[in-house]
Amino acid sequence: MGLTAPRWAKLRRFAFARPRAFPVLGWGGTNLWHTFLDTAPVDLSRAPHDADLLVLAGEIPESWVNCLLALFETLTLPRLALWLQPGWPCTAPAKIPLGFTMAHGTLADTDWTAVSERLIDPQNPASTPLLPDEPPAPWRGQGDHGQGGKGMMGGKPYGRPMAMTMEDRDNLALDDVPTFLGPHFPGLPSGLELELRLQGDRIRQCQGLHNGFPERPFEPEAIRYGGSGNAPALQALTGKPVTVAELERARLAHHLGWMADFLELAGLHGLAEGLRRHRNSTDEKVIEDLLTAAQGITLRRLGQGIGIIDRDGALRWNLRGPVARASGVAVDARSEDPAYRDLGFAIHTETAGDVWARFRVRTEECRQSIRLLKRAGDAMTSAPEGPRGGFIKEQNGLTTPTAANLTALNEGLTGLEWYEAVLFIVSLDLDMEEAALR
Amino acid sequence: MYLTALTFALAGIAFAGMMFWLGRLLSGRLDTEPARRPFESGADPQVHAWNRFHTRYFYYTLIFLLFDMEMVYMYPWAVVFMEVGWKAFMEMGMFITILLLGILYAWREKAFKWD
Repeated sequence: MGLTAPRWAKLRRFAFARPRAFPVLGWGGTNLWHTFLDTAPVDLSRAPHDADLLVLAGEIPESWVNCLLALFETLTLPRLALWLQPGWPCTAPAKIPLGFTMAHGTLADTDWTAVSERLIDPQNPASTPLLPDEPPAPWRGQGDHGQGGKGMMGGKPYGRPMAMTMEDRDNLALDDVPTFLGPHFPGLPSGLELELRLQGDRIRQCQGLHNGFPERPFEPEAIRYGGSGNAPALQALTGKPVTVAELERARLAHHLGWMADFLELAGLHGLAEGLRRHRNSTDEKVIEDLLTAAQGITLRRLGQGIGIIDRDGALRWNLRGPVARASGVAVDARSEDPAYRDLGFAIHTETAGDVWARFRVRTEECRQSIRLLKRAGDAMTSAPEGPRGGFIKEQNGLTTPTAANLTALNEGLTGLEWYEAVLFIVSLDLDMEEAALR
Repeated sequence: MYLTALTFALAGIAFAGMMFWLGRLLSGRLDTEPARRPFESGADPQVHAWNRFHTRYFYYTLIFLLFDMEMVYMYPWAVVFMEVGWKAFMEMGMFITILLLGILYAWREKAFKWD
């Protein structure tokens, strides 16, 4: 099926000239994926059924492999898996037939024609079924009409049982649908696994929260695993001072990249594209224009009053970083640092504590970073304040800002509508890779 | 006249059928159970997609019906409008005003909220 005969090669080449890529981000994958999007002639895809390329970025944890194989099987033909190798030695993801492996730093020299030729090649090993043709559970021929079900609730139509009922908020018995969010949903933090119970499009309860990344002890050389934008802060934590400029440049690039992802999810693709392209820039005018555009009416209407964390909650759950500062809690390791004090650093806080406030805190911090970069010179600092908040070394290990902010997620999801939940999760800017550090 | 309608209907069916056939011919898809698995952002779906949920926006439907029926009253009115003139205009104006008060009431009662 599909025009695979050689005489149709031209048509296939034309149809898949710009393949759609679905990302899976492992250790160190975020930066690799962003670089990939910058250089490769591909479009972002948000669902595997719509994708041609499965892009495995970074070091893929072994525990993901079966899940990824099942995911790869749902890609339509032609399909191809790519692996973006991180800058350190690690084993390639098992089981999935890799079409190409791209070594760290070689993306710019990649021959993209070879990739698309391999993609449309009907002989490539990914174009045959990889898993046996079996339904999730036997159902054929069972039940009154052979649909697999007995009566209203019993049985397994098409191999999957029906959802059970549960009382909803006006005492009606309605279906309580177990739904999983993550670990591979582009736009949400990679590795975040949520077990939700949905009634209609509203979350009745969040029953479980797991980190897909296995725990990793924090040693000085583990800085590379710390998630995007954290390297300078983690270096400061190990006792080696970094320059203020380095720390602020990382924060600025991280916040701009986060905003790009957020706007992409909100459907503002053009603006997201602009922010992604300029995320490594420190040009005040360019960034100011982008920030002003991003703070427009659409996001304000979307984010105001959603996912509110009040000051009490922020204090009770010990939140950190921009999330705490958006709820009026002035925590920032930089405020106690002599270098920052000399530069006249002042913490920016908001009081509303909603999605919009968290967005505004980050835009304001971008502006602040640019101001600090101009004045910083070669001032050194040892403030372990990453873009998501401060790292704290304790007796029994490290507590990361994401690990602290995950408490707010677990509490805050109950009762949210689906779109609100997605905005809420993204506004917390979680990085599960960072949360796995101990 | 019937011949024209029949021709159009047949042409429509043929065109739609051709699109289906072209789609099958051009698309390369695997037709196995694991390939048909719905995407639940990585995890395996636990239950079937059929589920019953509360259509909390049913107020919308009721209000829509109300104004749909208002339009039904306008048909006989439109027939005599030219004959009766201003008086008919005023009467319909009053009718619509009363219904508009209904909208304001529904608005206050938050009937236009999705959930």
